[in-house]
Amino acid sequence: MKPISPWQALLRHRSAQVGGTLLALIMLAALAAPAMSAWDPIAVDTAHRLLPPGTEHWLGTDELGRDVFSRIVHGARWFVGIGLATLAASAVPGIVLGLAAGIGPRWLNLLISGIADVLLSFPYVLLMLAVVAILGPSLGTAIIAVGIGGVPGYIRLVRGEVLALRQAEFVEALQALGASRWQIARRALLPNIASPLVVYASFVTPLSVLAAAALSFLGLGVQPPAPEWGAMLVNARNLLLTAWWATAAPGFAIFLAIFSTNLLGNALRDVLDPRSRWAAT
Amino acid sequence: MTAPVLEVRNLRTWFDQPDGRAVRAVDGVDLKLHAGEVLALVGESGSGKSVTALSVMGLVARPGRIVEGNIRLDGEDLRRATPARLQALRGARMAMVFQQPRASLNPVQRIGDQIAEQFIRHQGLSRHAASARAIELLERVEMPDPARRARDYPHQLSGGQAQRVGIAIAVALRPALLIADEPTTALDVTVQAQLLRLMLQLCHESGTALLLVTHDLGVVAQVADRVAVMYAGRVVEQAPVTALFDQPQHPYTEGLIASLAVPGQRRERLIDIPGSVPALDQPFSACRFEPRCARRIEGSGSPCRHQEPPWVSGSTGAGTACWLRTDLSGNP
Repeated sequence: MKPISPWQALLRHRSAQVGGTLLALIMLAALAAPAMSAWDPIAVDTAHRLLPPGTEHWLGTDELGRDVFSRIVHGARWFVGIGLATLAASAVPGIVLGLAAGIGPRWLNLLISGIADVLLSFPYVLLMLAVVAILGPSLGTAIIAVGIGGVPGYIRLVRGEVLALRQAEFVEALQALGASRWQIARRALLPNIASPLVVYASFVTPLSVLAAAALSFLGLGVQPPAPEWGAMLVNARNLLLTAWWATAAPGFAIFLAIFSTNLLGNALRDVLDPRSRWAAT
Repeated sequence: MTAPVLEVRNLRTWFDQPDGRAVRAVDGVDLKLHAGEVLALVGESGSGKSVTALSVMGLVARPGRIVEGNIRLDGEDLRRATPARLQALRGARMAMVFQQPRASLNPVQRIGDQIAEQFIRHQGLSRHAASARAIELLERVEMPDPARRARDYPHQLSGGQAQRVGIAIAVALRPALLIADEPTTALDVTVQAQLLRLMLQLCHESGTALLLVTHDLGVVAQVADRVAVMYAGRVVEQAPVTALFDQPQHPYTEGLIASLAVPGQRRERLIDIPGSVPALDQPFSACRFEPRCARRIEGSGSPCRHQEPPWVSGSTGAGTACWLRTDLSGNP
């Protein structure tokens, strides 16, 4: 039996197919948002407030007469953008610090793990609120706040994997060949922890987007009139009984986006994580 | 006689334990190795062979530390060398082949790139030129279809092929000293002989001195010029290979040779050396082999029980540490 590549295995995995397709649709919406809807997502039209879904406005209009479908489609841009930004804001410093803790001297390891533990001991929301309180509410602040909240998780993962890998024979062999610490980190350690990192990121990133949406919901993140899904929810929440479409649409969009990312994450874990591969066979 | 490539004098490498005591894994080892020579370092598990090898490479990690001794490579004092200097020497002037061939290759890097890395790291070659050299090397270690194989990952190779890659990486820069730590132990017997021959041939071509760490006396008989037998952290006998097999001087060496199974000869029972290696966490006040020795001198006045035997030199580099070879007065 010929072993198949992780890529092929992913293409055959049912939840990767479903999650991947949904996520691809969201990406498509983000890219082609202006072409997908005739309506301007932020144009106020008080003559047509709170219209129910119909042929003119597919998902109705909100309290300011803005087309909900157009806002949902444009909101995909915010979802993708916020996802990538929070991913970078927590993964990059987390990986750098985790590596430093794993290969650096003992005191650095203790210092970095200590900082990670302190950050982890704060409730996530409290930590985010503290950052927003210091920096003031804006999109950038929300991303920084969510990003900082995600850093200690990456530190722990990378540090643990690196400490385990340092015992591996090929790392000792690389030392015996005259490789420097930095070369070993770049050539041997990072590529070898890529799989658990990808899996971890696929689970944590949707949570970060959700946290950013929560900040927007609290009025501490994305500011009106931007068509961000969390912000749309909060604007329409008083109209839940009279104009259900104005809340149901962004709510469902958030659900769908998180759900598809999680499906893809599940598939990635099955394909890349050797432990779950053993468990499956 | 020319200066030795490697000279180890009175090397002691200890491992500190939480209780304050230290395991004396290597406890006074002397070795000399000349260009083009093959020295086998023999002994059972835990005798300090591998720690000796790692000490030479400067790769003893905490809690281990070199307590005492001199290590010279081409006359250069390695214990005074800076970490940067050691890093420059490793892989270039002294290199190592490991026991587990596949585990000692990076699983996520193509083998051609792993070999090429040596030329880039130590000689500053361009990636393109280094890749070409890597394919040449794969050809020299008799890898079939080297240009295609260079693009393989370690898991696509057999154990023997992986060890060919390990050897290629180690000899890439024609080091003065090659240390092979049980290089064929993990491989099929049929492949073992091929790889030993290959390694000898490559060392011969570039005048590399080979320190072969092994517990396999069969391997020793095939390839070594000289043999150093280690027991409990110390070299107990050193001799040219024929002399060692013909006239072992130390009872431990005798035991090792006697325990070799000879093909075609049926024995009543397998011969072994009774007992096991002693604990190494305190200094010895007697011969460290005495409890297991079949030829120890009995009686209350026996020197075997009261003092470590001194090193008695024989002809040309041979010698042993055993009271039976002294005049028994305590004076060598």
